[in-house]
Parts: sequence; C-alpha cells; structure tokens
Amino acid sequence: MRPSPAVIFLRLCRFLPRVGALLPLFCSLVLVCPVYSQSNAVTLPRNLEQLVSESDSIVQGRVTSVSLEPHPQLSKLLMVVVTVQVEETLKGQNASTYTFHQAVIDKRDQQQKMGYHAGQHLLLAMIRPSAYGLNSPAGVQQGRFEISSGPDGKARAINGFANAGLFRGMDSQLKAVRSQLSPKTVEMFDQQKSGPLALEDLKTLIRTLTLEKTSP
Amino acid sequence: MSQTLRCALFAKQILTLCVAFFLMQVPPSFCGGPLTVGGPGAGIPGVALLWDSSKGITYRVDAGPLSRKPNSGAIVIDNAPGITRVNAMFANWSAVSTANLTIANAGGLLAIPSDSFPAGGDVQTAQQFLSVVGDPSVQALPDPNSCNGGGQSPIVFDADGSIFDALGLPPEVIGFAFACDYSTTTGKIISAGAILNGRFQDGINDNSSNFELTTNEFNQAFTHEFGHFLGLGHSQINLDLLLKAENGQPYTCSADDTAGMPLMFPILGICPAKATAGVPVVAVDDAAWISKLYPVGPSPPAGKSSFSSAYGTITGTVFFSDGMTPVQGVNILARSTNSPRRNAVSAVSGDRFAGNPGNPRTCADPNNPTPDTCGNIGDPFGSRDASLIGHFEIPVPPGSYTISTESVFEGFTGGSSLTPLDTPIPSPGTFSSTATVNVTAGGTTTFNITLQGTPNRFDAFESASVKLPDVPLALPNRERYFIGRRRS
Repeated sequence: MRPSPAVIFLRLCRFLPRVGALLPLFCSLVLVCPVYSQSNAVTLPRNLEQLVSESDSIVQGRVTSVSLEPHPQLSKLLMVVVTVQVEETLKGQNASTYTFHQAVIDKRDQQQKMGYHAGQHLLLAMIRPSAYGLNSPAGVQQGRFEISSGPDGKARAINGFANAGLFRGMDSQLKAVRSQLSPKTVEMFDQQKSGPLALEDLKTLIRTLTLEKTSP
Repeated sequence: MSQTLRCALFAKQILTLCVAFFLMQVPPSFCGGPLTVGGPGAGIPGVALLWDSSKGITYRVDAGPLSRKPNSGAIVIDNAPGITRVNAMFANWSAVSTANLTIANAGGLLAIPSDSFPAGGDVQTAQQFLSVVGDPSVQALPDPNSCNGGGQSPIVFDADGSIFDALGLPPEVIGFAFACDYSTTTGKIISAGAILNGRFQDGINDNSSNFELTTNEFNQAFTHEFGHFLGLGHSQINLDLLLKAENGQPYTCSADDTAGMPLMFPILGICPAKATAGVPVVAVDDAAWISKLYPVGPSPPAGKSSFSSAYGTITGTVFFSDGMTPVQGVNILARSTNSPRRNAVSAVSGDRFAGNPGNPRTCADPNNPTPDTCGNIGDPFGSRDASLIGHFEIPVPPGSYTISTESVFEGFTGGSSLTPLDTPIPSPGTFSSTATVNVTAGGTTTFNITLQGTPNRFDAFESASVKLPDVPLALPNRERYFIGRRRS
C-alpha cells in the first residue's frame, strides 16, 4: 500500500527539525510526485512494495526467445513475445517457462524489440495480462531488473531506473528484514542510494512483501 | 620484455577490447539536444531527425473528452477544454521567438475507411487507437490516413484509461509520444503522435490503480512529450536536485532552480510544475535547443528573431587526460556567470555519433550490411564519422559562461536516456575550470575539454616490440580474421 501523503509528509519532515518557517514550503515542494519518462512513456515512480503489489507474476530466469509478432485479435498491433526459462517464481503460478506479450507502439521500440534479447538474465515483476493477453513489467522499466555478476562474483540486479527510489517510503518493511540483508543493501536503504542491489537481498525483500500481501 | 609482462599486456588489451565491445552493445541513441540522429539508411548520418519546418507542422486531435470518470462515466474534462490545453502545450514550443516552428491544429482525426473509423471521430477503444496509428509492420501497407501511413499526427485522449489497460500498460503510465513515419532519405519526420491518459485528471486518487496529477503537472508532462514529438531529446541540468531527492536529503527548489530545470529533463516533478512556480515553462536550455534544431533564418518573420542574432555556439571535444582520445557520453554544462542555476545549457559529448557503430568486418558482405548477414550491424541511427566522437556544440545566448562536466545519471537509460551510451557510463575523469568563455551573437567559441585523472588510453603501454598472438576466428563466411596486428 502506498503511504498516504500525510505519512510521506511526516517522514520527510523528520529530516528537517530546524528549518522552521521554511518547513511548509519545503514539504509542499517535495511532495510533488516525480514523473519518470521510461521507454517513451511518462510514468509515475514506484517503490518495491508498490511494484510487488501491482504484479501478478514475479519470475527470475533467462530469456530463451524474443520475437515480434502480430497480435491475433488486434490486427494492427505488433507485440514482442518473450519466453523466459524460469529459475525461480517469487509470485504467481510456478511453471518452467513464462511467456508474455508486450505491446509495441513506437517504431524505434519495434526495431529494438523493447530491449529484450535471448540470453538476458532478468527478474521480472509483471502485471496481470489484459483482456487481449498483453502485459508489461510493473512501472514499465521499473519492474524489469537485469541480473549480472558484480565485482565480488555475486549476482546483482538493477532496474531500468538504476533502482533509484526503489525503497522510498518503505521504512517499516525494511526494519523487519534488516538483519537478513547484506550491509551494502542496508546502506542503500539508509541512504536511499541508487545502483545495483544484491539479487538475494532483492528476492528476500520480494518474498517478505509477497507474504505480507497474502497473510490474513 | 618478460613473458609475464607480455601476458599481462595481452590480457589488458583483450580485456579492453571486451569492455569496448560490451559498451557498444547498446540501443540506438536518444541524445541530449536531438532525440534521434540520422544514420546509415535512416536519414542523413549525423543530422537530427526533424520536421520540415518550411511546411509547417500539423496535428489532429481526438473528438472525445480529455477525461471522464472510470468505465466511461461522467465527463470530467470535455473535448473543447482538452483541445485548448493541447494547443497551449504545443504553443509553448512554437512561441520560442528564435525557433522556426509553425505548429497548427488541423482539426479532428482523419477517417480510416478500412476500419470504419469516421472523420472527426472519438477514439474509445484499443482497436480504434491502433487504426488511427496504422499498421506498423513492414509487410503491410498502412492506411494512408493513418499515422504510420504518414497521413496524420494524432493526439489521442484516452479519457478513462481503458486503452492503456487494454494494451497491457500499468496504471502509472501517464502517456507517451510515439514516432510514426519519416523519410529514410531526407530524415524529415512526416508524422508522430501521442496518447494522453485522462485517468490522471479524473479527480480520483485511490493510490493503487487510479492516480492524479495537478493540471500544471499533467500539462508539463505532455509539453515534455510534445518536445519529443518535435524531435527534441533529454537534457540534464541541476542534477544535484534529483540526487538529493533520491538520497532522501532535504532540498528546496529556488525559482532559479525550477526555471533552469529543463522541460526536457528526463524526470519531471523534482521541482514544482513551472506554471505553479510562476516561472517560464520553457527553460533556457529548452529554448536554446529547439532554436538550434529549428533556427529562424536571417530574415525573420514578424514576431520572430533570427537564431544568429540571439545565440552563439560553444563547441569543442572532450578528451581523456592524454588530450588526444575523445570521450563519449559526458554531460557538458555551460552556465552563465549571471544566474548560473537558471541560465544554463547542456550537451552530451558525441551525441551525433552512433551509440553502437557496429562492426562491418563481421558481415558476410561488408559493403551491403544486413541484419541477417551481420553479427553486429550496429544502430540504424547515429553517424559513423569518427570526428564526431566526443564532439559537442552548445547553443547559448551571448554572454559569459563557465564550463563544467559531469556523468550522465546512471538511471537515465532506455526511454529516459540522453546519451549515445545507453546505459550511460561514469565520466572517466573530472574537469573544473574557473575560466569564463565569452560568447557573442552569431559567433562560435571553441573550447576543448581535457578531463583530469582519467585512465590512460588502452594502448598507452603498448610497446612496438609487443607482438600480439594471432587468434584465428571462425566467422560465418568461413573467412579468417585475426585479432591484433602483425608486426615485423
């Protein structure tokens, strides 16, 4: 659940005990929602909790095929059809492969197949398919994490906005799992840094958030 | 030279080649200044893809409401005020006195007879939206009245967000502009379009599937998108505000900060909407770049001023510390000594060079490269002229400027990128100078930048006595090539 503006207001104002008269002005300024322009779409920012909540399926795996195909019902629509060999399902139904169909409107996206290619190692937080069987990552590029090896040889993940704002407003959830995370990830929380995140930490957080949503 | 040192040098060079190859595996360039630059087979190499301003630019607008309550409920913003707002968003750009832009609303949408979409129709479904956009596949001929057919540039109102839903887009997507048709020979844009999600103006915010923006935020978001419609790319100025926002640090946007933040900054909302703050909607950077791309000539029409009477140019190349090797993807800022936070213009080094120039040596027929016969054909866009590597041009009003450089923010990737290198890489060195650059109207000032503290060029340690091992590669055409050079 996205924190209410009042909650965000209080959290932000915590940082400003001495600003005094400038406080209302400051808070009114920072409460303006950032709007990200991603993959030709102007999109509101999402934190990890919102991405998980909005997702129908969250899978980690390797892309095995990418093709551009006409939509069977919407004859004037091209869609990129991506199949992933699933390594782990974090939300949604377990299956060995996950295939999704993402609409492509812009000709430049068509040429690039929306940036998907075989061999890519991804963690995808995907929204529920529409009536036409089309879906996208939650938050467009924000729910699409590329997995690679870090300098320490461990897998790390980064989304289409370099994980910027991924933990914004998630203090309570982070407290609960803090002890299970690497020091670097804890530092990212505390300092709200952008940049790659340890894959295992990301999955720990997603599992926690998924459990929260399914618990009575 | 010892065997160990030779091995180390060889490993270093192979690593460098691998890194260089990795860096080239990037999508086409969406650069600061122009959005897209022509390349082989896609316009004129090195020249921005733009509209033919001598013919004027026209768009056509959906006949339906801009916003209504969910599930085709009550109208919140009717068609007439919606059109007024769209016209005003475009007028922000055409009003720039040094930009040769005539942008006109040509009326309602054209009919798409093949799909029974009527002239002046209201786009209400995904099918109708796709009819107006037109068939995108290269096999089929799009309807000549459609956007992909080059017949019209549609501005579509998805009043309740149902078209976005049908297309499988998440509820936080506010809208997007899209490219339709352009001439592959002249590089002139023929048609483009945009779709606006009216759900963000329906007065409902449930914080899960229906969000809300203020009128000024919504208008600013689409004025930004219409900048892309015109061929303008992103710019990065006053990045410190974004970094503070992302790091949870307190910050305020002064009037100068808000005014200096380009409309074409990849993220909106770091500062309040410009109209809310009472500053000009079009920032100095936006005005400079739209004027540079669409300059008014020396005999300006009434109400306009010539570009050369109002702007000069700072040009140069960014180099590694050796002063010889050009650097791609560094953001360069020219800040006026008078009000530097407000009066600033930026450019990215090498923004006209291809992000991925490809490697024709891997093509079966290097003189006739095709995706099917080349391992790495490279981007369709961007020049392959090596003299453009690291090169920059910044249009600025006459005055005194200080020059600085910075990395492009690592999160500006894909649709939010502003560099030929997508994903951006950190600047390999720093540059600081208190020297001022004086620019006169119509003049060009050359200012080359040598970064401090960069790594040496990859072959700086290369010795003439080093002979790289010849590594034969099996290529698709069964010819053999060799990595490295033979030296006698």
